[in-house]
Amino acid sequence: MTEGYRIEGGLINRDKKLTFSFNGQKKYGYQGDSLASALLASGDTIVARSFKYHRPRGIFSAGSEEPNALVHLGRGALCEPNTKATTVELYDGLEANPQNYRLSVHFDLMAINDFLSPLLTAGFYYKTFMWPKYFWEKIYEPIIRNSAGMGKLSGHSDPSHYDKGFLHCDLLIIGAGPAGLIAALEAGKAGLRVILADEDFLPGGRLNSETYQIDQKPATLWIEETVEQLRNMPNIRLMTRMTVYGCYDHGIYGAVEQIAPEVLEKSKPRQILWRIYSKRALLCAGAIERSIAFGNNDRPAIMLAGAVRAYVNRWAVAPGKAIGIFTNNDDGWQTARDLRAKNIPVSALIDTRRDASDEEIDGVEIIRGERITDCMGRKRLRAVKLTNGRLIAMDTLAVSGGWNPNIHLTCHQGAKAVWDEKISAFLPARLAGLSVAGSANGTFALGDVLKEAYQAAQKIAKDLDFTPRAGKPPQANNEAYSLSPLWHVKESRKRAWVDLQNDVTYKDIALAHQEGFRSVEHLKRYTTLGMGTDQGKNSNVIGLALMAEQRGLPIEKIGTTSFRPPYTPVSIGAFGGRSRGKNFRPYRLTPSHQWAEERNAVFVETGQWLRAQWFPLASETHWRQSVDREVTMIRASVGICDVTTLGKIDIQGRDSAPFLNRVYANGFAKLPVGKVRYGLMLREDGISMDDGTTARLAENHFVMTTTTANAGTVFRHLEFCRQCLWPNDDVHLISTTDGWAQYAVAGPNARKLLQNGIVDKIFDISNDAFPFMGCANITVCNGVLARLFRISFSGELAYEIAVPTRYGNSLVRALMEAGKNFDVTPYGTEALGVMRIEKGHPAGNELNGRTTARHLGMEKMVSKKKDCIGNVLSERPYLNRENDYRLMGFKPVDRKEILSTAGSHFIAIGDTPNMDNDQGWMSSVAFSPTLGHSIGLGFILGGEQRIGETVRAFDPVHSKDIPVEIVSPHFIDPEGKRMRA
Amino acid sequence: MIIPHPLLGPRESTEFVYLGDASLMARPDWQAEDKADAFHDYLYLRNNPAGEHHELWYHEQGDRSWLVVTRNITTHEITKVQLARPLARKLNPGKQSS
Amino acid sequence: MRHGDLLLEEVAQCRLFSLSIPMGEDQALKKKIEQTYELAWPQPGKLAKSVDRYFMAMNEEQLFALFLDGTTEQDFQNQLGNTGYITDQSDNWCYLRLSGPTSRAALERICPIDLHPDMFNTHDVARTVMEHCGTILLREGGDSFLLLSARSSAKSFLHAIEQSVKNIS
Repeated sequence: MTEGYRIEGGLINRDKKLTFSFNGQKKYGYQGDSLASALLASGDTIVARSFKYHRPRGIFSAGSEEPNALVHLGRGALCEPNTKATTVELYDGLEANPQNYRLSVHFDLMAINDFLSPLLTAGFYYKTFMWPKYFWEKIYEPIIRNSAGMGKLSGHSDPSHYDKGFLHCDLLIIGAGPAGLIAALEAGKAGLRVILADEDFLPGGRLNSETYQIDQKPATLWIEETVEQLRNMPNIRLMTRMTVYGCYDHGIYGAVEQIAPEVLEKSKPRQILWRIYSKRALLCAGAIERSIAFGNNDRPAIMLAGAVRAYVNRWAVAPGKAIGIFTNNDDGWQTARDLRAKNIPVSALIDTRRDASDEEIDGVEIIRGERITDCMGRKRLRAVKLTNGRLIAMDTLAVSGGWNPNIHLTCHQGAKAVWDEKISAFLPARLAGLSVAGSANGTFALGDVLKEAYQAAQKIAKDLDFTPRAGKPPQANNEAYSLSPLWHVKESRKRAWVDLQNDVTYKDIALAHQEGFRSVEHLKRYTTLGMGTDQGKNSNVIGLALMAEQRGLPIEKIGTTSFRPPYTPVSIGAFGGRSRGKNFRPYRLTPSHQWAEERNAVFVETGQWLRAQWFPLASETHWRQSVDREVTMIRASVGICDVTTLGKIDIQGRDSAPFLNRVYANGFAKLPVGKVRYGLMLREDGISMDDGTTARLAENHFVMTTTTANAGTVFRHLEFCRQCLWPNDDVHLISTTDGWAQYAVAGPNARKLLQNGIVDKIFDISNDAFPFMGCANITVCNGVLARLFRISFSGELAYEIAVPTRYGNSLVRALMEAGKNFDVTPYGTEALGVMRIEKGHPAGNELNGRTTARHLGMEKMVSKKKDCIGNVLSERPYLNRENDYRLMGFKPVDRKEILSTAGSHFIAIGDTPNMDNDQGWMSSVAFSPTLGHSIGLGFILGGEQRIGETVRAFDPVHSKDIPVEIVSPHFIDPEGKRMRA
Repeated sequence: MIIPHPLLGPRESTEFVYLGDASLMARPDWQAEDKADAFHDYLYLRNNPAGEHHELWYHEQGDRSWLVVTRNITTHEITKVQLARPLARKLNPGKQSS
Repeated sequence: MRHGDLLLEEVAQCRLFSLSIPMGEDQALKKKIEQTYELAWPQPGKLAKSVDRYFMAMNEEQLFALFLDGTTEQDFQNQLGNTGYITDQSDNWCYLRLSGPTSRAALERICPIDLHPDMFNTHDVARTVMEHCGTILLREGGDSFLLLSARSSAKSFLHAIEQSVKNIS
């Protein structure tokens, strides 16, 4: 076992040893380790290759800001690329691999890019790979994609499970460091419902990585006690491993929770995407340390100073055996003290400030007023060179350029951060629902942090009408923090990295400025500064400061790029949640679905509904055989079709008739009780919206049907008309789509079938007693309540019969039984479609949101004597021009030709097929078994006047060009004798 | 967004469907002299200030009421939510039925 | 289905009728309801209940009357006469009951409504959307919830609840 870097202490459980593998090698760690701490403990220095130059990279931070240590976590389909080793909680059996390299992370072929670096500056791709144009897609892009870039997707469907959920609270506290913990405690004691979320698996935030005292005891003990208290309060929900990634309107937050690896079962969700509804929120997200740009500052084993303390104090890992410190602020000194306290050799403490404290630290050489200009050691840092030329040997360097408050979430709704000279960092803007406390607010000293968060919680409690308890915040010393900003060591001759993840150096920023990219947003796009998985958490402020320097302006004049959700990357799987495969969205079944399945129906999705498309017999091998048979049988005898999916709206009230008269283009005021009428609904702009039939069951009671697809929109539209346009009408609407099962019984034997034990004998349904377009409340099968409508979509003698849904399954079986002697044939949506095309009835293809009543040949239906939706604007001149599109029928001139694709354009014979010569389009096609050839419906300029003319049905997409004859759209029984029989 | 429903309290905006400006409630007279222009303006012309809008939202996954929501489109701040029907009654005081 | 301490069952005997108030006749109908059922017409979003009936006010002018005692549309019609507009909604819905100590935790995965007892108690009813299924939700008492969703998508709805129950166990 190689654990040369592990030291005493820390917040790890040494009784629980864990095995994992990295880069194929077996390694060990402990419960409480992160993957990064375990790797450091094993002496792994190079864990990644850089984005552009493929330079060896090591672990840089100890948190979610990590730019370097991105790994492939897991294997095969479970592999998750771009995972930050610093945030992965170690578990037994973990498998991780480095990414973005060829051959080996230690010997990367692509490192050649590093020697080509003078060519690979900002904007390189834009400038170089411009010509010839076709080279871009074929050659340049694949090469660049392959050499630059991050992790690789597995290419497999993600086998993991994800879930979602909704949380509600008075106060959401983001971050369970000192500020978050004390705020949660105080708010909880005041009685608020609190959610305390932290991305780490261990609450405590920075305190876990430091050696502070609170109320005269070690801070880690104070955390333990506080967490225990919080866990015992029923109104507080402490959620660790939970990243609040987005702040949205009106107190809504997005968060993603990782399930702890030790409890995760294969069948359970590994992440839960939470939507949090909060009355107020308090951001206690702390601060993120930033680096300094100096020569070769990307060498492996150069880390943030705070990260070094975290590895030493929290994870009991010495990141090196001779550690140097480079700082422009007092915080760097704490690193030296902590290292010495653990007996770790410190090579030197280099403070850029000549006037830094004159304190001495035992065993530490303190160098004031010098800066690092270069770093040696390609695979691991060996030494640094100072401005005075001195070389200092070290195997690790801890860098601190100061701290940036973690204000990310405060900017998600567009608020702009405010530059603060004192801490040389951006502070959050003041927001209404989101308060900020502690380091995230620029308050860095622990005593002040606790006080500020305590007071913030009390204020929020009062704002929400709770009574905070009297008391005082816990006591802690205020450690010193002063800095003199240093962004870039000018004396560096070597490349100085600003953004490690995107390989952006000082020179790139200077070049961008030189080439005129002066706005920060342009700087970002041109250099890629601040892009990628870390979104510039370390680098942005340095980049801005350098831009400001270039432009000779103060930083506050430069501004900052916008922070947008998510705070850290969220897997697409989490956003998808459970909505996968069959459960992508709800599906709707009719009550006779099982019956249709028994008959081998092929189903089609129509919206959410699954509808039987056709019913193949064992002998049939092609869908056309089934559909042709179904159509033929219905026209010859009788068939049954499930039409349950049609939208049904129950309309009651004294003003129902005038209401319908205004929402339909045609008249409904005088529809007699016991009658059904076809209705065409227009939009206010005069375009047809939907059609269907409406039956008058009683003086003040109607039942409207809509098309399956438009059931929801029509209902919404009717409610709009009722509530917003004619609010004084006594009209009441309720959907009964799911309440009634409805079957079409169509064909010359339809009546005989219904009289054969279906419709109870006391109801006379003879043609005289119950003529075409009649409707009635009846009973069927000895007393079951039903509704009977004599309507026909097929053009045959037909009825639609509706029963409460619970009886649907029984009714369809009874209908089949009653029809046995007539060879009753179940038919699906395809046969339905064929018959309506034969009959010339428009459907969804014709009511496509572009066609008017006039286009459909129904202009006479639009009553001019009444007010109705769409009436006025349907009279606009353009919609009434001469020789407009009209719905017509089409037959192939050569009857053997098959019209197989709707969407063909009509072109006059002899014309070049182009848009100027376009005369209309084919909207529906079918093979008519009744006529023995293909037929189509379509819209053509000139319409009826052109009957008998031949045009080309031209379809370049399917390479079809078929001469067709223009005919009446009513191919069968144009007088309607059959349906009136 | 959260829409504070006047009867049901705060509800997630995903329960609602947006239609357009509340001026859609002021449908012109179909018999007026200038009906063509009036309907054209009613349907196609809107003020679009960078500030407060009066919007029609339908509580489809809730009580099926149409609401007039006063919302600042630059901040998403919702300052007022009213049931549309009583407002529509003020616009159309007379009985409409023929 | 029983899963750990949770019980998910279909409540098959439910009869549901929508009852709308004819414009301007609120008082007559509300009085009739009070006389017939000894229940006051609830405010929108609230329900009035007795042992085997829940009267849920879905909006200002519409009530959903849920009967567990087998009352038919005809019975309801007879009892109310012509005081209101009735539509049988029984077959529009499926009826599921989820009960047990962790029922709230299960519903937390799909229900956007705050079900904390201080916020949603036995006199509240909510219509919302869960996993894209429109849902009417009420708390029968304690940790027992009655959930109504469209009958045609009952399979999807059942799957949503079952998955939630499994995911939290």
